[in-house]
Amino acid sequence: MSPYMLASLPVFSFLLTYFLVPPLARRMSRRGIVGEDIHKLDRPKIPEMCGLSLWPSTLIPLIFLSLLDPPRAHFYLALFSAVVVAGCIGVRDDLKPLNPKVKPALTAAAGIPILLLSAYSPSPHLPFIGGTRLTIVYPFLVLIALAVTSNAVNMMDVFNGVMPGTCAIVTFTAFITLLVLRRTTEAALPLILLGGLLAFYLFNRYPARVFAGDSGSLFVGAALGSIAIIGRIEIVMIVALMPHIMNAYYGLSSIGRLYERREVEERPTVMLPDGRIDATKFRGAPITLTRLILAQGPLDEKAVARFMAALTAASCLLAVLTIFLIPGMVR
Amino acid sequence: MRRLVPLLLLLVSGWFFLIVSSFLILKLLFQLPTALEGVNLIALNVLRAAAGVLMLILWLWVWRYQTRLYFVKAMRRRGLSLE
Repeated sequence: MSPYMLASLPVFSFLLTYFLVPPLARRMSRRGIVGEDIHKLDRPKIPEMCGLSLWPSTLIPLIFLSLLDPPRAHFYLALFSAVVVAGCIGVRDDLKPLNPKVKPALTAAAGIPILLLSAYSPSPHLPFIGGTRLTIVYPFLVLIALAVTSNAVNMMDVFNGVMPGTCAIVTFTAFITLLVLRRTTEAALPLILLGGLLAFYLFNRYPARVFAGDSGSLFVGAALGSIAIIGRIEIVMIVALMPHIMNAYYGLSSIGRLYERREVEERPTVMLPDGRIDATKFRGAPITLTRLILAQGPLDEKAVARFMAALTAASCLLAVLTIFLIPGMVR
Repeated sequence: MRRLVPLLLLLVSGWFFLIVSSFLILKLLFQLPTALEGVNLIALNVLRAAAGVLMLILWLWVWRYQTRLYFVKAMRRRGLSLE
C-alpha cells in the first residue's frame, strides 16, 4: 500500500466522524436518547449512542480497501463483520439493557466472522518462545479475545474522553507495531480506526458534548481485538490494553461475578460537594481502576481521565518493548 | 504525579510477571521435556496447555492480591477503613 493511501485513510475517517457527530447528537437529543453525566454537579443530559458516528468512518474505508486489494479482502471483511456484530449488540444494549451474563457471550460471537473467513493465523508469537502452534485452542481464544476486548473497552468508558482517548493511544501503538514489523497492509487497519477516534475525542473530551454509548465502545473494543488477531500482534495488544483489562478484571474479581454498572448497589466512587470524585469505603463495591486512582484522595474528573491516559501510554510503551522480546518478530 | 507511581508499579509488575511466565514456559515446558516427545506427544501438549492455564490463573491471582493490598493500604493511610 502506498504511503499516500496509508496517510489518506485516517484523514478520511477523521473528517467523516467530525462532520457526522453534530447532526447525530442533535438527532439523539430530539429522540430523547440522552444519558446523565453523573460526574458533574448539575448532571447535564448528554446525547447517547454518538459512537455510531464511528461506524461509517471505519466501515467505508474497509469496503474501499477490500475492493482495492481482493487477495486480502477477507481480512478487511472479517474486521468489517466483527465490528458490525459487536456494534449491533451495543445498539441493542443502549436501547434495552442486556443481561450482564448474556452480553459477554454475545460479544464473543463477534469473533465468528474472523473464524469463518479464516482471517487468523493460529500461531501467536510469545516473548522468549517465538511462534507457537495452537491449531485447536486458537479459534476459542479468538472468541474469548473479542469478548474481553469489547467489554473491557466498554467498562473503561466511565469518564469524559477516556474511551476515545485511551483507545486512540492503543490504536496508534498497534499502527507503530505493525510498521516496525513491516506489515504495512495490516497497518492500515488501526489507522482507519485512529482517525475516527481522534475526531470523536474532540466531542467526548471534558466537558463531554456527546457519549459513545455501548454502540460505540463495543464497536471500538471489537475493532481492537480484531486488529490484534488479524495483525498477529496478540501479545502486544494484551500488554497495550492492560489498564482496560485491569479495570474489567478488578471489577469482576471484587464483585465475584459478571455485573452491569446499573445493578451495583454500592458504587465504587462518590461525588463530593465541590465536584471532585472520591473512592467509597464500601467493602462490597467493585475495586475498579478509578477507585484505585482515587484511593489516595479525591480528584476532579479531568485529572482521573489524565491518569487513565498516562497509564495507557505507559502500558503502550511496555507493549512496544515486548516486541523486541519476541524472537523472530522484528526482522 | 506521585500517586501515579504505585499504579505504574502495579502495571509494570503485571507485565513483568507475564514476561517471566513466558520465560518459565520456555524453560520448563518447551526445552526440558524434549526427551519425552517421542514417548507421548499428546500428553506433553496437554501438560503444556495445562501449565499455561495454571500460569494465567496465578498471574491473575497475584495481580488481584497486589491491587487489593495497595487499595486497602492507601485507604488506611487516609484514615479510612473499608466497611
